[in-house]
Amino acid sequence: MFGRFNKIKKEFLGINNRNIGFVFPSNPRKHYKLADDKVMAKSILEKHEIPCAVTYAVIEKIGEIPAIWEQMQKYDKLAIKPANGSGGEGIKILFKSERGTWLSGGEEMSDDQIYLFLATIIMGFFSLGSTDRVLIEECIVPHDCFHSIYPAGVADLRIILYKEQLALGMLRVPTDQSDGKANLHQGGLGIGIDLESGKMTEGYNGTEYFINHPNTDAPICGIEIPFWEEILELSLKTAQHFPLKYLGVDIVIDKVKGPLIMEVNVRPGLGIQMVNRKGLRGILKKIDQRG
Amino acid sequence: MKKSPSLQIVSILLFGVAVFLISYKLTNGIFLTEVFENGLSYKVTYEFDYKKGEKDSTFYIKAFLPQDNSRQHIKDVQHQSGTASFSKEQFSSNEMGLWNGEIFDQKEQIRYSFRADVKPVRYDIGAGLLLADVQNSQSEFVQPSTFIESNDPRIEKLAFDLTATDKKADAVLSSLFNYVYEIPAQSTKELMTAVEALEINAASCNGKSRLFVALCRNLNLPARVVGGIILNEEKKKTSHLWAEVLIENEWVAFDPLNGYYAYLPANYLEVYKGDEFLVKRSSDMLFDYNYNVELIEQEVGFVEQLNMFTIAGKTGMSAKILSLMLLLPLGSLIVAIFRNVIGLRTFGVFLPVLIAISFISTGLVFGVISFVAVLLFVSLMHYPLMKWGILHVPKLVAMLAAVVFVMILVLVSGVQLNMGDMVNLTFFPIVILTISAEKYARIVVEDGFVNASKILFQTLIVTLFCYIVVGSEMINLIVMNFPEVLLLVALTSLMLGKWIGLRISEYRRFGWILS
Repeated sequence: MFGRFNKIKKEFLGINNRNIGFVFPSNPRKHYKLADDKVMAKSILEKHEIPCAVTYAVIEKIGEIPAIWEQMQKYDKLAIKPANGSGGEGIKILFKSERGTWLSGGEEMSDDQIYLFLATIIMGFFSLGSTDRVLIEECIVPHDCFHSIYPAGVADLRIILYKEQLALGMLRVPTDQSDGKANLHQGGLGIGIDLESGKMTEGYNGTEYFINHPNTDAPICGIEIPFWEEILELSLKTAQHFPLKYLGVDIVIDKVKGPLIMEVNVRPGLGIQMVNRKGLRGILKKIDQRG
Repeated sequence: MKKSPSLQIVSILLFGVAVFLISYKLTNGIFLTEVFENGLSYKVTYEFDYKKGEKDSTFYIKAFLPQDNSRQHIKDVQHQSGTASFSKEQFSSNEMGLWNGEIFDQKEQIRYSFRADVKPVRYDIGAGLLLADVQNSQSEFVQPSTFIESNDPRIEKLAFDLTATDKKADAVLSSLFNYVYEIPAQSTKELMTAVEALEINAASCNGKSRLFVALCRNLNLPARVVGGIILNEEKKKTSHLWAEVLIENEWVAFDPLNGYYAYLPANYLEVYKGDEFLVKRSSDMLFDYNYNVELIEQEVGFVEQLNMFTIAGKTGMSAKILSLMLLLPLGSLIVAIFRNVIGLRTFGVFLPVLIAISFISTGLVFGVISFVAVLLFVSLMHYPLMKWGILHVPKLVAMLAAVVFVMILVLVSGVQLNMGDMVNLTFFPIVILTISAEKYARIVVEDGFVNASKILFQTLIVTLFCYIVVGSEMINLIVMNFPEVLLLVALTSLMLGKWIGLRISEYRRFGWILS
């Protein structure tokens, strides 16, 4: 009984310890916004030529909307994001239809509707009241490498780095329950990764472990993740250039461009330990000892 | 983990100051149980000088000693009795000092002094209270006694004449009181019985008090005389007598000499209950006595001032509000422990405390039901507001307006249906409640109803614990008397904020992987 308690205590990282032991000392508060604000995060990535989705435009004022939207007409598809949204809220993917109108989730959106949506972002609808900026960027087309596991939605990778060294990683794929999203608490399936080999271990949906995808029955265990070396390199490079020494890096594999950094997170969740069946505490301790 | 010396110093300081203040108060017996308002402090000295009389070589002096009650507090007793030996004895409910020993030709003195903190008291005799509610023919306090001849026909006739038609207790007592008050005052130190006061139609405090008590007793109203000293800065020989009537289990004071009806001024020091004499002594001795009264200028030290009851008395602030002010951080600490040590999720940090505080007024069951109802109402409102794309802050304002309006509707219907309970809804912390309800609604949208309900359930559990603490009379008394416990709350929070252990819920979460 106590042996088990001790084992849990020694291996796993809890929220208290994550915040006090790692987030607070490694990530200076004033630099949080470099990760929390997508526009600022991207400017760092772009400055160091770390691959990420191309920024089409940033809208800061409501008055700029018509002019900037006019410039956007040359693209066929794009993603609109609130710079300070969280949990994927307020993200809209727009495609241009054959008739030249914009579609969102299959439904047509008039320019007025788009203006209103952009203004809503700036007025802080998705950032709990404080004014925000709109980020318009290239819409990523997911690589089909994960389509054998689950054919729809976007799968992404989360790598946790500490002191510019790899700690844990996982792959997140959508499920029938997750509505195209891959976030664990929204019903996505987390898949553990053996960092050495880049091979998938098991899937975890918050309650159960799987060796096959629960909906498609596609095998998971032992599958190699493509672009693995590149992904690791990308993560390490990102960690190097952010003044945040404990962070989670989110990566999506684009059909054409390969791995791209999507987001940087200063308080990466602890569920990744469940997915990998491995505690972060021991891993981070080893990194500390290596110095 | 990084050690910060400044944090350690602050922690030690917090602990040290709190422990110092608490132990200082404990050792000095500074502990109040209610607001001590407009109190006065006096130093009272019984001064007895005596010398051998004709033949006796021994003597005794007995004097009642005042005791603590809800309006007076006796402390700092100093005592000097020369060659006499001193002992205390109980005399019914009173305490009596007894000096005795040998007596000599040369003058000796006894000095017994104490500090009395006294405050005024006003009693409320309910306007609807019937005479029959106060009458008790079985009480020992309606029996006649030597000086209070309540069964005398003259008393009987007067009591009947004065109150024949009155049914209300207040009206009867007023008639009796006014009659006795109107009797011309006479300053005499002679003992006067109730009947004598009536017959002579002039009386001092003792005659008037006995007459008033006799009239009450004749009507089967339990009553007694009370003896004490009126505290004015002087040296005096007179003690004072007034009356008390037992009304709804409370002895209510009346002074028919000085015209205090159901009221005692601050400077009345009660020394004994019952028809007694303050001082008795052996007869064969030369004896002189004085009660020396000095006003003590209230120079209360800082530590003594650091008592919420004292602060309430001095500032006139409500003790209840002051206590809630103190319980807020304490309750929040409980929420913090539930969140960071146990790992329960709650809507906000302060909501459970505030809700728990409002439960004190609403009652637990009605409170819980109304709380959940308001929460559900607000989250239902959230759907259309979200669908219409209303911005965050205006959305909150709209919800707040709606919640207040619905509360007014509930109040109106409560009045119509004669349901007084509904009024208690106004004790809810509406703003925080609305913000939290909005949060609840968002969790319903983002994580689903089941998850949101789980958090709601956990919030209720934490609220319940907060309610137990915030509603506890004992904890209330502790924080009111020792507001420095806030320093300990701060200290605990600092330690909690540096605690890196796994939350209990995380043991379950991670332990599950191992099994």
